Amino acid sequence: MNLKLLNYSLTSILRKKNKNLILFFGLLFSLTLLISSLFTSFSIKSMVLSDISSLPEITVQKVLGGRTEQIEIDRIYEIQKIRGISSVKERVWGYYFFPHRRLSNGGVNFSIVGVDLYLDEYNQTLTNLTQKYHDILNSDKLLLGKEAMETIKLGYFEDFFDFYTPDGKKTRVPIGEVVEELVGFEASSTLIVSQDLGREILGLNDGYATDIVVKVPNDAEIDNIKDQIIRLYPDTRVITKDDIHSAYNAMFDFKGGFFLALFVISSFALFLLIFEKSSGLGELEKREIATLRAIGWRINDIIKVKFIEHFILVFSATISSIIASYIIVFIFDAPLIKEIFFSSNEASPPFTMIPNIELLSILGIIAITLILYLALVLIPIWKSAIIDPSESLK
Amino acid sequence: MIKLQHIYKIYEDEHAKHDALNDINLEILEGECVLLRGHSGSGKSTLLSLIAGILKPTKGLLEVDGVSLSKVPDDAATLFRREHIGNIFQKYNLIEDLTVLDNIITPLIPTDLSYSDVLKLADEALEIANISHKKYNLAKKLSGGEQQRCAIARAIVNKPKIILADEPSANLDLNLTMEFIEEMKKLKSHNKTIIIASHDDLLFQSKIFTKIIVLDKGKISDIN
Amino acid sequence: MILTSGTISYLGSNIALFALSSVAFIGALKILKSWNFDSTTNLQYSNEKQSFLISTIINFLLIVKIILSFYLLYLIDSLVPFIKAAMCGVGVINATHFGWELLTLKIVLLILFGLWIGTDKTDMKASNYPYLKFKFKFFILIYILMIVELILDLNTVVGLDTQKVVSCCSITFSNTNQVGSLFSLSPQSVGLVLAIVFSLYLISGIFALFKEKATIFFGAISIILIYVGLLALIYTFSPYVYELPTHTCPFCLIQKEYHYIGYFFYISLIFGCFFGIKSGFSYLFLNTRNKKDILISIILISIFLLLGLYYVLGYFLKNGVWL
Repeated sequence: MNLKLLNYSLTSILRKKNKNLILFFGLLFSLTLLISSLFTSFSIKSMVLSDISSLPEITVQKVLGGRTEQIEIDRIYEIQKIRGISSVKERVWGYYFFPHRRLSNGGVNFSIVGVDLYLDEYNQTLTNLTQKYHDILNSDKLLLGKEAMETIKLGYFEDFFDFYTPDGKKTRVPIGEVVEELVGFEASSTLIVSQDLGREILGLNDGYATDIVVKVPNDAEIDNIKDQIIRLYPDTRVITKDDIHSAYNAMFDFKGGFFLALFVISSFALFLLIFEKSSGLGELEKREIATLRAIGWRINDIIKVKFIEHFILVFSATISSIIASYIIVFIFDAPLIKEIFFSSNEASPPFTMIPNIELLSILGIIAITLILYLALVLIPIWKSAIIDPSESLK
Repeated sequence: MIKLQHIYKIYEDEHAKHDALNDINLEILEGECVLLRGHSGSGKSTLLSLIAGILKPTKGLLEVDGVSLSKVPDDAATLFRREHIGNIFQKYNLIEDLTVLDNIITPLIPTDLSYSDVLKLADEALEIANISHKKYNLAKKLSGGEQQRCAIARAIVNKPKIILADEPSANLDLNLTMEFIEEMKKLKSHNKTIIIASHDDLLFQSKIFTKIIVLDKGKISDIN
Repeated sequence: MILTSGTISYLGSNIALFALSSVAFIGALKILKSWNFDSTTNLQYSNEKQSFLISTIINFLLIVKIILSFYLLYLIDSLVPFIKAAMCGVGVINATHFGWELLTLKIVLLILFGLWIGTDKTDMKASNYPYLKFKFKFFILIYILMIVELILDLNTVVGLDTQKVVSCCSITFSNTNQVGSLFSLSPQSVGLVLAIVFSLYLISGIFALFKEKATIFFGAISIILIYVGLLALIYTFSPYVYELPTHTCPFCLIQKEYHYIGYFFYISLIFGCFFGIKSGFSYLFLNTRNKKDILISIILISIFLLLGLYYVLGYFLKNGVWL
């Protein structure tokens, strides 16, 4: 690497300030658009996946005519007899729609979780919460995360929250505690109550639950146990954690990929536009190159200098747009971009992004941007490098 | 040092054929100071470009410092130019937004020399061309004479054996032209081979030339 | 088909590179048709300039292709969760139609690109472009292989079957006689073959340093050594890296759990063999012989071998048994 060439390229960039600034900001804009949507997708994906990873290996639902129905808790005793299972537990949970015109979709869907006050829950966070706030839950009060609290405050609820049960009755539940242990989507969407209260709000009968979850310590046994449960209860749908995992994974990667494709097409158009403007060399620049050629610069030397110029430009634009995207997504909480990933019918409560960056994907993006850009400028660079040295005499 | 035998340079396009040089035979020895005279369009510039390896002859044998330039790949011609030739352009062709120093080192940038060696060479050239005091000024802020000296410094920074100048006095007044002649004398004393193309009588009258060649319509009409 | 940001970027860059190489290909055809070094016509001068474009493009292609091959390894690893039964990259490749063929082709192309650039350098240095026609004919061969590569790339990404029940690395590369294995090779026999080929390689390398003709043999042995070296890496060395006699996998080596050691294995082997092939190629086609290539090749291959032996002997010293 010839440092003198590098130095010459740097001063050359500074000498052509105006042209390079336009190019820089054009790149910065389109790259920031891309990278911030990818950051958002990574972050949401990891939040969803961490929710899923706290699930037990198998979930059993009762299905009637395609609808999920409440399931008899008694079935736990039969399922427990299958070898290879470490624990079976019923879950009382469901969605509760809280309408409010100041929320973006006319309201939000909270998840109501009814916890068992006397037995261990299916995941550690819930078990810990139940133990810590046993008395509060026992006195039919509500536990919720900080962001969920802010959402219900919109309805002027400070000390209590009014649920409307399926039979139309209003149930007033005092707010017990705003807890810190809930993070990510849990902080914004989960409302925790005791199982009995949960049944009342969700309209479940006594002796019934939403579904049954099964823990299997040995991964190799999962498919086998799934088959046995289906044989035992043919009216059930048995979902494994892997099924949910790959469904979500595919969904988010597809969205990320879709936006990247859109980006590639639109930025190509942008690049071409910019290049129409910038590849035409000015008289002065032509003369400079011809002079350099006449005083002993080879065609390859000119190509190198120009290449370094473009490389510095696109590299600094990429790095700047990564920093800009980080600020937009994780400090300003990704305005607009978040909406793209959560379409309007999902009615999810407002949440805060948790920074999660897949380093290798970012490196990939940087590499691909550099490759596409440099491939695009290669021919214009060559064209300017073969300017005849005799042009300098004119 | 420089040998031309039956050199032709013919420019051709769809419409016309133009003989810029027509059967040139010439030999210039090391240390000579040569003046190329002739009207504009007589082929002076073309001849200089051929010797610099910037243009290639259509026909004939061209040898400069033992290297046959008649037909060499572009890279080889450029490397030859880098090592052996110093070029002073009619309009100086300085890079306006660079300082005098940065302009002078441009021929050395693609070489393998270290930066400190480059600066040493540049200082020598600045000294000889008498422009050291403007080292850090931008080229566009220089006067005509200073630009000329900067161009000379750039031409000699690579310690070339041959120095070529195309109409060097075209943009200079009387005093500056005399100054230029003094500069050339200094270079001649360093045993450089100098070739100057000009139709300026002031240069013609100076006593520094060992050979004067008159070109007319691409042919040598007189040598003395 | 899986549409992720990774696969789209990968395909996008490959298509862009292919477009660029098509420009070079058209230029090469034009030059081959009308090249006449002694001519002083404008056509010839524009040919000379065009040849700079082609060599710039190909230099660029080589650098980018090296970067992209690393990206591809990462990409394959990132697709593992999408394939139902895949546990590592081997499963992903097994879920494609021509994945293994594509990887082989990519290695071959990298080596050909390297050889082309060596030819280009020699050609540019000479006074009259003596190998110009040769190098552009050579490029036409490369371009044809690139077309095949692009088709396979598209086929691989589009035709990736997420539902296919794939066999994982321990079955694909099993060293016992199981159904579904590629072939059965014991670590001892592959190690023995490697020892024989390496001795031949080393002897011919030393000969080649003194006797010109031996360079051809050295180059040929280097080609064989890539294949044998890869087999040895999978069947002989990798179980010692994993410290498990049944784990023979070319892919897990490059994962973090094994300190990315696979990259060092692959780089030293492939580059080492490349320089060996290059020395034979240069002697055969360019009439030049560069002792430096031979030395670099021997040093790199020795690093590869020492790295392998370090794992094998290290395991033996620690546990007192062979796998």
